Amino acid sequence: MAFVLFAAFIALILLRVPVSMAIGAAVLLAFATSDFSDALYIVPQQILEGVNKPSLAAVPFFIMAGNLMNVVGMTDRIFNFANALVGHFKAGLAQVNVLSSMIFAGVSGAAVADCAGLGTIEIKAMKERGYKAEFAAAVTVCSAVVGPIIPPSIGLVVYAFLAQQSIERMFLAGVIPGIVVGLSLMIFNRILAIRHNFPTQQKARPREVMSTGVDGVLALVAPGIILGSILGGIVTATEAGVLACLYCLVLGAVYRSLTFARLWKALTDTMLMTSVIMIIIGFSIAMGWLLAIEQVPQKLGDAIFAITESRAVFLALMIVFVLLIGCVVEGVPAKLMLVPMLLPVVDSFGVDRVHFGIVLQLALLIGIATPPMGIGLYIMVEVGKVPFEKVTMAVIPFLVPLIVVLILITYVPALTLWLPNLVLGPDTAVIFN
Amino acid sequence: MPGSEPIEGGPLARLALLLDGWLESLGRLFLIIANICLLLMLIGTAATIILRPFNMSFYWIWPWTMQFFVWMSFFGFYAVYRFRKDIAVDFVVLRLGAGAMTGTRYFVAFMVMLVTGVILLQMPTIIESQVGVIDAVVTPWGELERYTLSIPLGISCFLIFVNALLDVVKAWLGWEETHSLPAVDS
Repeated sequence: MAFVLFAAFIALILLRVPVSMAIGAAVLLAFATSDFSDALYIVPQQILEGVNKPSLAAVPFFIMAGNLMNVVGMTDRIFNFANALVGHFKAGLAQVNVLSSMIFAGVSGAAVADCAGLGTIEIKAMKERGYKAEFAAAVTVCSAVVGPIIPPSIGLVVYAFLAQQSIERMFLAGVIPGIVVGLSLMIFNRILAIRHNFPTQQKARPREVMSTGVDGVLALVAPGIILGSILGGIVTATEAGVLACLYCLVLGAVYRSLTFARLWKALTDTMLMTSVIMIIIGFSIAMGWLLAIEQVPQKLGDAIFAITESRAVFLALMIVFVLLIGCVVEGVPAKLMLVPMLLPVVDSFGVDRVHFGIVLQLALLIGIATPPMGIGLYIMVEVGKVPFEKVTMAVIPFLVPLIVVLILITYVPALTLWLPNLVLGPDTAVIFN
Repeated sequence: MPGSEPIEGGPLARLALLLDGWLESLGRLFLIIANICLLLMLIGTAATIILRPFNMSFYWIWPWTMQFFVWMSFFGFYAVYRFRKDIAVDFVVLRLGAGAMTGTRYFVAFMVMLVTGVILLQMPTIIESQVGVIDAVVTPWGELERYTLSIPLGISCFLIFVNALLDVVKAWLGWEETHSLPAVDS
């Protein structure tokens, strides 16, 4: 049954069926071939159940925060500040690209907002400075991977909901891995800069660093406000998302850059993205219901245990599997399909659910930069006006640091768990063997 | 069957054009409704945060926020489909040539009709099962009935079904396919 579901889904995707409809059709096919063929009413019933979940109400607000950052012009200020700070390094603008994404990630929960918003500014600046368009696009799409790891993150909200973990813990767990991903990309940029003699620029004067810093400081404190308010118990995760949006709206008013048309654009982009995600979640809940009834996770667990009883081998198999899935299935639907199946197995191997969540998030995020479903690549084609094949080829070298960090995070759980355990105390809710 | 030239005249083309205009207008209307739902979610939650230091709270804000969340998702579903904001992967079929593109255009439309058709067929059962009111979703006429959650899903599915049917007609008439950038994220 699981095979029918996955095979049908992937086949439908490759035949141009939109993702939400492909999941829907695959779920209906799986129902039709199961013992529940005469109970198709369960599908819309589960869609309703899936969409009407309070813990998911944070999703639109973390998307909106990123979109508002773009429309009120915060992205320009972040870019200018990062440029003054690291622009004089080797491969200066490539480093600026990564650092800007890391700062932007502290407010936005989505990689698309990073690619489409910051990406537009970054690619234009890099092209003007003599970088090849495909290289600029590759750095942009790979640095956008940082966005949904550093909190807030839509993917982590969805995972927290699926794995019954606290959003606060998931957000804290993403901080260090997010920084490590950013640093690895910066190191890689430096290596490339030495090899290819990339353009450099003059070091900014301290006054320039100060003025851009003052200009961008309001963006820099935003992550602290969001995370601090959640961890301080002042607001819930949903309210923190709203707080981030309000903050961006206030900034828009302060900078006099917020117009009704821009607000409407941010609302529309947010609503469309959220609707797609929620419909996919709805269908996936129906799928999860069927997988659970048919005891697929238990069968999968038995099959994996038949291959290996080693946790290290299991983790290796898992990241290869998830990376492959990430190439053909977008992050949210992939998570919705994989988590209900893999979680019992993850528990059996004694892997912490929070740790697993971050590994899964990063592995699937790498998929935004890999064909055929690399959403980041498609955006780069649009934003950077670069042919799909060229961006794809340019991205390949950047997959090396990303995969190295993925392996590091997979086999060094402390990178993920140290901060949440320090701030919130050890998690006792995790099931160990 | 269409030749190499798209059919622009005739009753079927005129009907398709008219229907396309209506569906486009409804798409914009649903987009506005869904945006308003999102805005109301934002306003409601913002009010909760702002009023908290004053020890003021309204018990109906959160249930209404969830109601708007569900409505936004379901009204937005049609807008997403109409404005082609879902992810669709072209590159495999593109490499197979124009014939494959045309073939899959029909296939996609039929799959969409299958999914939305099944949901529509099951809607009466769903609505019948949604008895009672939703706690604290108050209006001047009392609390909202539970079935109001699923009505926008039914309407969106119906409109998506009609859209897909229109896509089949458009393909048959040889009209060009429209594309736009997807909206999904990780």
